[in-house]
Amino acid sequence: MKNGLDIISSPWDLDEKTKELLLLQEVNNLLNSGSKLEVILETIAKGLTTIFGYNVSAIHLLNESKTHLVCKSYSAESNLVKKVEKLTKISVLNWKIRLFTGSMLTQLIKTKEPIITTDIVNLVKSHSDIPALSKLAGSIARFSGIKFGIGVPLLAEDKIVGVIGIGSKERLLEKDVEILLNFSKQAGLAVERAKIFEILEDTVQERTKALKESNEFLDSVFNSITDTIFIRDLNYKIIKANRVSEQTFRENLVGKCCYKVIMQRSEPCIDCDIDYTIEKKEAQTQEVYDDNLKEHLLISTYPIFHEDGSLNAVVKSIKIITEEKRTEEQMIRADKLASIGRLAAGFAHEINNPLTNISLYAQILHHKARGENRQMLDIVKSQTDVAGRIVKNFLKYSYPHSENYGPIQLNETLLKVLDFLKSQFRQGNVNLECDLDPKLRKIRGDGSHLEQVFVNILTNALHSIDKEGHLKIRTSNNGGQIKVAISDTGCGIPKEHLSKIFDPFFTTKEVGKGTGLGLFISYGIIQKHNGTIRVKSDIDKGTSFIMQFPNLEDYER
Amino acid sequence: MKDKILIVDDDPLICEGLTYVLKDKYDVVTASSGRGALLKAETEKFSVVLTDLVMPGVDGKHVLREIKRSYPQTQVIMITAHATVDNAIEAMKEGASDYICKPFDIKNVQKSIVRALKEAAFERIDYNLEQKLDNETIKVSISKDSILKTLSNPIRREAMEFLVSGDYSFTEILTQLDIDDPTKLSFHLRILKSVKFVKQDDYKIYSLSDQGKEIAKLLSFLSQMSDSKDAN
Repeated sequence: MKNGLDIISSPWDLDEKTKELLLLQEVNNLLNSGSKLEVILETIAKGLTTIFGYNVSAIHLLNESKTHLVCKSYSAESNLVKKVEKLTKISVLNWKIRLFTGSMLTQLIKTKEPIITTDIVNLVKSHSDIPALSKLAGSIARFSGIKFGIGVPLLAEDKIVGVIGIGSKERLLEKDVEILLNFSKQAGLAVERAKIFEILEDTVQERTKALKESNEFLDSVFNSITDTIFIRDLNYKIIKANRVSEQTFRENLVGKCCYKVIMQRSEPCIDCDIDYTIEKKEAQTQEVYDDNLKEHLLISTYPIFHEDGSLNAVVKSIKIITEEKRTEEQMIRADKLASIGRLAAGFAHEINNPLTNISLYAQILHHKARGENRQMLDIVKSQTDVAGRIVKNFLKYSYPHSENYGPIQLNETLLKVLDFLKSQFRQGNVNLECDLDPKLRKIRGDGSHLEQVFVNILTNALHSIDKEGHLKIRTSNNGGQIKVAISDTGCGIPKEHLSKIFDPFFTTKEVGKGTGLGLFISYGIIQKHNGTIRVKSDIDKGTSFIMQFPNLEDYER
Repeated sequence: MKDKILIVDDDPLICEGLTYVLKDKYDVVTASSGRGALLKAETEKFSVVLTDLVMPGVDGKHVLREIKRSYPQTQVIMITAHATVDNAIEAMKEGASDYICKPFDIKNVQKSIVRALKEAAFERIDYNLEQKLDNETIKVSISKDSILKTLSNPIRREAMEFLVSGDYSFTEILTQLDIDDPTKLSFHLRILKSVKFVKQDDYKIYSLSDQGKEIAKLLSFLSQMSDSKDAN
């Protein structure tokens, strides 16, 4: 691009005022087009030599601490600067002029009055830090024939920001000073504006960088969230999605239509929760069981608003809460069983007293009675004993017993129970698989109680297998816990029964075949061992009971 | 002279029924509260007190403590619902000679009373045992007091005597001693184990320790003495 200055073929054809205006206009053009400070300074320096016809020009700006003038731009006969740089091995650009106290330039800065000299060599000498350098500079000046110089303050309003210096072979006059002063006032403003622009630009750049960093930070936070999260606009387009969502849906959701990419549908879902949030402009959260995933999900939608309050987009998060749900259910069950246990124990206790009396008086009568009466009293006595045993069994496990607790190796307990049940295994066609960890740690417990637990669960498992099936027993160390899993390939437990199987007197067996106390008692025993039991079951596929007990060392700690 | 027995229960039917059953063999007195029982014990001397554990106000445990403190020769048997077996075991540790669970067999009550009376008899002759212990040079690791306390209970003595004839499992001992409640036997065997009269091998079979064998020898001598005294 052609610079405005280039069209001036002979500067001496123009009058001084026109030259000044021409240069200032050029500077202003540059300013308006957002040019950098250095370009503007270069234009000024060049203009001073090409338009005004001075031999040398240089623009120095005051440094921050105002100790030096720093050469920011210059213009001179083509090989003069080269010569200087070659001899001094110092770049003229950014050459620092030290402001010694009382020096001419220091004076200039202080008074904002121009200086005019007939001995530019001396002036340079008196402002150099390095004697050799000043000597050299002097000789160059002498060699080039430049003797005369003017320095005018570069003013922005009243503030001095630098110095414009020119050097000339010809004597300089007051008129030159005047022209330069006039020019420098305008130029100073331009420089100041350019400086402000530059600062602004720096600030913008800094802010942009900070914004970018903060965006990156938020992005990494967004991506580090372990729940599935995506943001959808009002037109079914997903505008942001975190990394987990990509894993969940096996696809990058961004930019895609939600019902197509997530639901594989051609139309929006009728019961869309995001649409609901858009309509109501409020967040909503719901728990859902997903049959395909076999997981409990906590799904939340939150509206995001523009500053004016209008809706912008909706954030949707999907959290898998199966584990939490299970814990919650276990707690509810524990709580329920505890209350049932308390209630039933209360009943049993109350029944125990009249039962004692019935038994006592039946025995007294029995002693006195003869013949038929005696036989009938035998029945009263034996039936009271049956009732007494039920109560006894019930109370035995409803109240803590701890007198027989000791170190127990559950593998041994299981083998003992299997030995006990072996005739039952033989009856059915059950394939038994034992995967017992030989390094299984011990637990603290009551062997006979734990045997009862395993008998109950294994008997149920055997009963659940109709003709033939597979039964697997697995023990393992699981962190600080000892884990026992008993799985069968039996008929499974219907979902509606799952929450009731540990309830007392719940049984699906024929009347008289099961008391419905087995699992209730097992549950109580496991609880007393500070253990947990949970059940997984699929109809026609089988059932697994998973028990965990704290290991002995943890227990004793 | 008949032994005097005090029955304490807040249920009058129990008191009446037990009185009816026991009155032929013993001189039976009843009290319907713990407080009442302690008042009666102040004026009369009982061989055995049968007390319910759970009673409003002064409970069975309190009765036990007071009786054992003021009249150490009186034997106390706790009657309890199953729910409070733990408390009954606690009571045994505090000196009760036995406990009976509700509902009970009359013959178990009678057996328990007989045992308690035997225990009382044994305690009366413990002077002989003490002397014997002083004279004999058996090596025992526990104090004389503990030996006497351990052996005062008839179930523990019976168990020791049975184990002289061989090594047995828990169930075999339970059957031999004809004990209604396994918890009870397990409690007594544990005491015998803790004083190292009895040991248990890896197969959970019980046998007498060397020191237990020495003690058993003493016992057979003493039970002859106590039996001869009973006969008198």
